[in-house]
Amino acid sequence: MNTGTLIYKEAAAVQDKPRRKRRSWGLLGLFLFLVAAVTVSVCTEAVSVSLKELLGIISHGLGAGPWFAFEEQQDLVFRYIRLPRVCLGVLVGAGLAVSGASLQGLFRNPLADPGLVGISAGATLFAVLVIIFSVTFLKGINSLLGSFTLSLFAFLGSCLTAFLVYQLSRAGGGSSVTTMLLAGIAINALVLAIVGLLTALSTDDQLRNITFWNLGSLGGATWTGVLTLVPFVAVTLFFLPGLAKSLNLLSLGESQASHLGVNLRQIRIRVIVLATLSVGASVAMAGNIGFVGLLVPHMVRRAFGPDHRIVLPGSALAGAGVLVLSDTVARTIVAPSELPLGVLTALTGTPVFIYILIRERRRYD
Amino acid sequence: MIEVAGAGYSSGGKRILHQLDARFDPGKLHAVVGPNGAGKSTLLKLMSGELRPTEGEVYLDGSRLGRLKQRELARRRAVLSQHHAVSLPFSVREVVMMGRYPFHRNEPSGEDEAIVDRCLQKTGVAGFSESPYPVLSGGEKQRVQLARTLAQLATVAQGCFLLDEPTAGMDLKYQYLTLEIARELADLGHTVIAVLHDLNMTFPYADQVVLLENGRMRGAGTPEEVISGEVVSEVFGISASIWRPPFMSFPVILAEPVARSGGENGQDGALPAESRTMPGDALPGDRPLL
Repeated sequence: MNTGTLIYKEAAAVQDKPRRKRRSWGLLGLFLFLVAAVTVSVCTEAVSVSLKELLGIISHGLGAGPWFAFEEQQDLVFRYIRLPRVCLGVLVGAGLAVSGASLQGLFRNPLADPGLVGISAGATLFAVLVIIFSVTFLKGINSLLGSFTLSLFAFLGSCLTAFLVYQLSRAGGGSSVTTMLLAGIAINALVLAIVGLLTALSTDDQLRNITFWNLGSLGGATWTGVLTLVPFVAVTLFFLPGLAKSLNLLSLGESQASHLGVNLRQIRIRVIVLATLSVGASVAMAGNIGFVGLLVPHMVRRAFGPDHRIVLPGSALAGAGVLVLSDTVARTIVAPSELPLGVLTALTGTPVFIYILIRERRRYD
Repeated sequence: MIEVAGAGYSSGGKRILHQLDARFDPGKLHAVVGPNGAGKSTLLKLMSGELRPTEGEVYLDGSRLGRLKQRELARRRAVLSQHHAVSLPFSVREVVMMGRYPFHRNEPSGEDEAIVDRCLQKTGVAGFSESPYPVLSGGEKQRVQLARTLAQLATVAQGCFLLDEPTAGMDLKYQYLTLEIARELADLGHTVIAVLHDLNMTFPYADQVVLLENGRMRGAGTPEEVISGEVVSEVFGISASIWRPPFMSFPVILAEPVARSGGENGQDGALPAESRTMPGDALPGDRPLL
């Protein structure tokens, strides 16, 4: 009756906090993986660069005078082809993976991949619309926003689709895997149809741009593209990890989460806007690269547990590394021609998708 | 303290809870009882803030519930609900730690860790604190959720605990342990409101009982005042009576199996025949099963 609290303040046995330590080591490991992936990627194929030559180029670029000898051609390839491409890969991979992880938390469903549930398709649709109509209607906006137009509209498209799918998946009360996936199928089909329609109406030049989205690729990487993407992905990466605790609470169920102080409306809007910022802009720059948002968070959860405080940053690092490595494989495996990156990620991602699907069905039935 | 001032709730044109006035004082264990569909869970949801009353108001410590922010609410009242699925394989310990989330920014403090340890022990789940939550049995999950609820208000004086069927799925030992804990919380000065199905639990543990029937308050007061053989028989549509065993300090409710009541077994049962009040029309026992 006296203190009014159930648990008295005890001299807390100062725990060594092994959990937090493990988390830091995990993130460090993933970071090293990313560095290795980037290094391998910039050194591989076509004009190959050795590690020594790479250091030479970097030191020269930083104005420190070349520590090691390299060829002029290597420098050019590195600066204008390899480096933007790897940077694009890092941004797209990190953005897609962290978005996938956060959407899975919000939907309370490990299958919520931006590609599968139609969010990427929404981005594609808006991007295609921009290309078709930019000449006539959007000229004003176009000159105002420059290279951002495409990304902004793609973001808008993916954001709207995400809200739509989210509402649909909750329509039956509680989040339903089946409804979510069916909504994704419907939206993907609709987008495919509209894009097909628009293709028939488009000029040759527009057509080349449109077909590029169906299978994602980092082949068109330029510094302009990279710089356009940076702010989008940066906002996502900066703000999403702050929602980790709320996403953890959401796993208890929506009402339980709100009992523990989560503002449901707010978290929905925040997660969807932040996630689709990256997804939309990534789709605008690199097309539909499927399954990264499904595969990477799944691997990270497998390795480090479900806590979003590690799943979100871990997915960003791992996603960047995985995408850069996949791109390296995609552009070397059938050299001198190039495999679309989307083909490769789909090939590896689909079996994992089916595996999770079977496991989830067992859990819900 | 929670005050329900003329609060009612309708959904889809159907009145689920009629206007209701009730006061839930701190330092007491309040039991909410009634048949299925009487509106017990709805009343609890109105008090937790999960549902907004369609008429009237609910006050928490004098301030209107709708005015308080979620986070502020989370630091003053804890809710144990009936839904226990966790969609990700968190460890038992982390699920309980989630009760401390409203109190730390990003990482738990040493005090939070200590509180979680105490709560895990208190509900008897410390033994599997590192197991993934989804593999537990129903009763174990319920105990973990109870521990989470305890952890949430462990450092709060005069908090509110809203427990929706806290003993559901538990074996006998833990049913009693849970109510002992609820009693202890009330004795510490918290407001404890529990939806209970077992009326026999109200006599030893509850200070106040609110009996609901068809969305209306049928009675409120001490268990002895509210619960009688007549009322129980009428409200629940069974044949019941109160028995005061000489060797126990509190009474028990005895219900007669419906299908047998009135038959020859009724004569020599433990129930005195005159106390058996039963509304004959409400009994399904008269009709054949199929």
